[in-house]
Amino acid sequence: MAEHAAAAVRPIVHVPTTRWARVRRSPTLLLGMALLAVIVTAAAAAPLLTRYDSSSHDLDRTFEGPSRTHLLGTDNFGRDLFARLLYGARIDLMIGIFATLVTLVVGSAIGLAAGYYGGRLDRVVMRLVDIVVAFPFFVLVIGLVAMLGTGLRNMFLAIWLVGWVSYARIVRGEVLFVRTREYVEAARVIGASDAGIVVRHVLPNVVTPAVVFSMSDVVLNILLGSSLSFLGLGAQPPAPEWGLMIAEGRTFLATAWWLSALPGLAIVITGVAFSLIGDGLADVLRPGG
Amino acid sequence: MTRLVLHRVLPALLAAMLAAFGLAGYAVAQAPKTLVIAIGADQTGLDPQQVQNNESGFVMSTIFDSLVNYKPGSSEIGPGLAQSWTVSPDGKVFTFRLRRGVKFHDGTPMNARTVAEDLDRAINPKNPCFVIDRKVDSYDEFTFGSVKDGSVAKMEAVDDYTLRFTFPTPNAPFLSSIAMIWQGIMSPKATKDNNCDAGQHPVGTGPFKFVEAVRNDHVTVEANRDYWGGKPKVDRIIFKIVPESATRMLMLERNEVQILADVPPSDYARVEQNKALKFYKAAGLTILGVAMSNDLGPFKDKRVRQAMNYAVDKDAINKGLYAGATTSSQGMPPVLWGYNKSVKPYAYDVAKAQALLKEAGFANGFSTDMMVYSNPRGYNPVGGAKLGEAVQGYLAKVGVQVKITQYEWGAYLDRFRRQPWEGFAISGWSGDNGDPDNFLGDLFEWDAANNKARINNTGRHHNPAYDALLQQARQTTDQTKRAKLYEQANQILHDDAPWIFINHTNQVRAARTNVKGFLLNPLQMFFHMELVSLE
Amino acid sequence: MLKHIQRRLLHLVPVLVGVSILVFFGMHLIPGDVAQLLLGDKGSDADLARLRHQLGLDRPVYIQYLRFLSGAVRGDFGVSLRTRQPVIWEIGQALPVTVQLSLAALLFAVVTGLLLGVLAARYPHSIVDTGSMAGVLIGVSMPVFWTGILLLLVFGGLLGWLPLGGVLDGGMPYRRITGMPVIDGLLALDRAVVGSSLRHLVLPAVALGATAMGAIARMARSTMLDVLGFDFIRTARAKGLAERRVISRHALRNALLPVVTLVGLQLGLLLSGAVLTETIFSLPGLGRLAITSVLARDYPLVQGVVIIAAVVFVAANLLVDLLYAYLDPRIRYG
Repeated sequence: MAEHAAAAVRPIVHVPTTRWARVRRSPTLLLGMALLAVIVTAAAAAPLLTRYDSSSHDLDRTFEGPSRTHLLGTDNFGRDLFARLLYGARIDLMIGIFATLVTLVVGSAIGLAAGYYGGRLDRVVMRLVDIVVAFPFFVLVIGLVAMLGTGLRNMFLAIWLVGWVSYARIVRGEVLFVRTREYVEAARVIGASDAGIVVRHVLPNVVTPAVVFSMSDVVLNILLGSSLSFLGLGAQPPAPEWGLMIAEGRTFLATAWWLSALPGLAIVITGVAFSLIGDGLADVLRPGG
Repeated sequence: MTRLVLHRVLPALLAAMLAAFGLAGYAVAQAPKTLVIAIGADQTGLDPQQVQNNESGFVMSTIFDSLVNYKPGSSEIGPGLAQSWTVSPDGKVFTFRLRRGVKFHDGTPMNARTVAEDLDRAINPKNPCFVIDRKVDSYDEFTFGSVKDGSVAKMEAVDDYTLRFTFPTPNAPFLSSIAMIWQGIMSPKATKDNNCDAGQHPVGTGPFKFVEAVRNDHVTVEANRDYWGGKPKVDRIIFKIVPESATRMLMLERNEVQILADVPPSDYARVEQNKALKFYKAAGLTILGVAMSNDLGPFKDKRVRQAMNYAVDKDAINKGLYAGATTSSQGMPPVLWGYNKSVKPYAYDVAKAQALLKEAGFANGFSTDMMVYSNPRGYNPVGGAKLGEAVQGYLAKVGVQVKITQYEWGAYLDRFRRQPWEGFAISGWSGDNGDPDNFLGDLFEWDAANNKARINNTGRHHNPAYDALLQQARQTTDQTKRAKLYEQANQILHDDAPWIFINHTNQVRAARTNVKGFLLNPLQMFFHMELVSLE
Repeated sequence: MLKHIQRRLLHLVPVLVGVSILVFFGMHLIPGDVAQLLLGDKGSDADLARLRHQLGLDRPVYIQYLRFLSGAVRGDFGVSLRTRQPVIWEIGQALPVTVQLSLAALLFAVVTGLLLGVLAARYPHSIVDTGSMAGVLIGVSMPVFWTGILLLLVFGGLLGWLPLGGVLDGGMPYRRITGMPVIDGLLALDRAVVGSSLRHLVLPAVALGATAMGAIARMARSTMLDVLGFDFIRTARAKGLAERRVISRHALRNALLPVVTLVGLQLGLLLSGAVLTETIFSLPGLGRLAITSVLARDYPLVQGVVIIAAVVFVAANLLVDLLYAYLDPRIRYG
């Protein structure tokens, strides 16, 4: 099925131009990068943007509305919501990027090896892949977290244990395709080493779809991380993780809806930024460019 | 095929969806006099002897009677299936005179023989349905005593309507214990017909009969028009399971449900300000605190433990976290008899805390750990983690640095109750039977016979003078004398400060104003629902 | 085709055995003790030991596994620790609710997704296109639980148009045939039950389907755009066919294939989202059963739920796969 999908998704229309020209002309990519830059800056410069930290209580000033002292008001502990959103960006960006980066690298490497060498290695890897994809993704991650114990660290572990599969499948499929190409055959004939062939000829040709996929994967992982935290399985209080903030705010939904609504909005904005970048990259990195 | 999808199926589906929206205004008439109660989780079975969780108890309290029942709205003992009873002067023999003409919902007559047949499975290891051999939530040996050490009660049906229990030692709390919903009487025929487990087909004598239970959705019971205590005033009660507290609140406001089994503190004001709703609040039989390792680390020193109590602003926590619906604790719930009125909760006094720490040799404070859990409990509606964070903040101000580790509830219990942890741990208790021994004994007594802390004395509090008082009270039948002993024990407990005593969570429920005759019971169950009407 | 199905089914056997091993041994690595959890904060050490023995927790793990596997093959996953009811019965109660919810969500996603995608492709770079694609972009990034909470708050709470959760109005009696109230209501020709269950279904289906809807809309738009540029479409247009007819008769047909594939890929997300949606909307489905049983450490129930979820998921994927083969004339399985 994955093969069909890859075939179906592969773009059909080619518009030859240089890549940089495309980057400059891709408003999607630029908008996405601008948005991400704002979020990253806000996360990094959090201590400059607010004088509050994310966890100190002020039980005399709970549930305050927006004011000049508290830009977005305070929560049930009297914590500054704006500060918590800023510091939360650090956690959620880390979840999105770190979780994805590891699965991208590990999964691609496994897929590369399986596809290039084939044989028993390929069969073992694909059997493992079959078992992992037999589960609904989220159900398996929940199961793993339940097994490993709750918390951010174990959440990362669970995501890594499951997430590599997508990349292994994508890259393996591409490798199988590229392996039969003339230039690879030629390289082999003139006696290039396996490592040399992989690095020089295979990798550059198969990495694009994995990277494009990884952008939507970042969004998925942020959603996954916040969902787990929402269920109490991921980040733990008092961490200002956005999903956890939604969970904590939901008790007060009827009286202070913004405690849940704003962290959700932050997730959406971050997701949109990465989606835009992903779309833009897909355009820019199209083969033939 | 594809064309078919596009031309026929899609429009049809769209129409169906529109119809779904169109039906939005279509209201469905409810059957007359149905009372809906929203609860947060599903029951796990409805056989009183086999389960011991609140949700099962909520439903069972409408279906079952015990030999004696709690009086409406109180933890005092009143008549139940027994019309009257006598206790021998030595406090060992309890004789119950049963009500005549009462039938179980399945038609089985209720008499000394059938009641004994049901209770037999609690105390007789040879009974094929002996509950200890079955998988049960819990089994509290404190009602009838333990089969293993021979302290179990002897039961005999003296005649058709007289039932007698004889104990080897005085058992002052027995009357309170036997009124608990966990001692509700099930029709022995139902137990037999269901292969020893009538948990999904419960048959009692109570004001309502079981109709159906749909897993994670609802439980329905209907009026027992022949109830000995009077005909119920509503036709049906539906316990609707709604896990989200915000949703429960909205449902109450929309009159989709009429009673909320619990209300989060954040919604107290919302209920009180709504003229269509009534706020029910009563002192609860609970205690919440932060246990300290009395035998390990700096906490070995009583002055350190007292300092911790002075360092935490309970009033601010009550107001900020619990929306003012809790009462500060001095170590014992004020609704219990035996509560010592002259003992006041520790005041918030940072200077005094620092002085005590200095005296104990910790002028610069110290670092330690705290274990918390996240889920809410009956005695801690905001969950352990939030309380932990608040306490952590206060202790930092006197130089005590606390590192919080959160555990999932199961893992938490395991560590908390069975391992020699050091530092702090969120601790709490809900009363079982309304007897002081159920708090002072279970939570803070040293098991002298085995020279270890009793299982729920998780802070490992150990004071021989205190233990002696409790022992003495258990053997005293005169309640006034018992109360005096508990008052002394209360004073010692307060001074020993084995926990940071935080508060007692009031029992809070909300109902529509047209619900009349509804009373809170200190034991939290929905007793006497036959008195409740919908106007 | 038949052979292909056979081969696929055979291929599933080792996968499902792997699944069972993973699930069983995984569950046994979990910290915390079932017996302890059942007892809660009451009960003595003797109670604990007795309970451990009754649950077979004191036996070697491999024996526990073999007993588990031999039962599982026969559909016997043991008895829930908390409720003492057969696991398969508990799952049977919950599964129809999840199936109904997922189908409704899928229906919503496919219908609105195709509609938006086709519209956007029909009028590229128009307000319709930009607007719907921006909406889709946002939709794809919305956490299911957040969408659910907001929908519930607005349409259930503030406006009061739709119910606040559950599957039916409180205590409404109906005959359980499939366990899916909408279907059962239709079968019994009970207008009240159908109406009530549909109204209860709208918000959770929209919340759950939103993400898939976004993905489908994007896919539909891009393939439509590609297809509309092809020769046969130009020919069709040149023949003077009405634009509506060109799109419905020629373009959409070709755009549907990748959408079917996408639906297959979205199934996992849909089942995953069900866990959160069912929690938010108080639906007694499989997802909620999964969470409550994980939190309660109800081992047999968790094992049963996860394995059944895997089986359902695998079966659904197989179905999508076959549907794809059926729709695509280029693929013929020998």
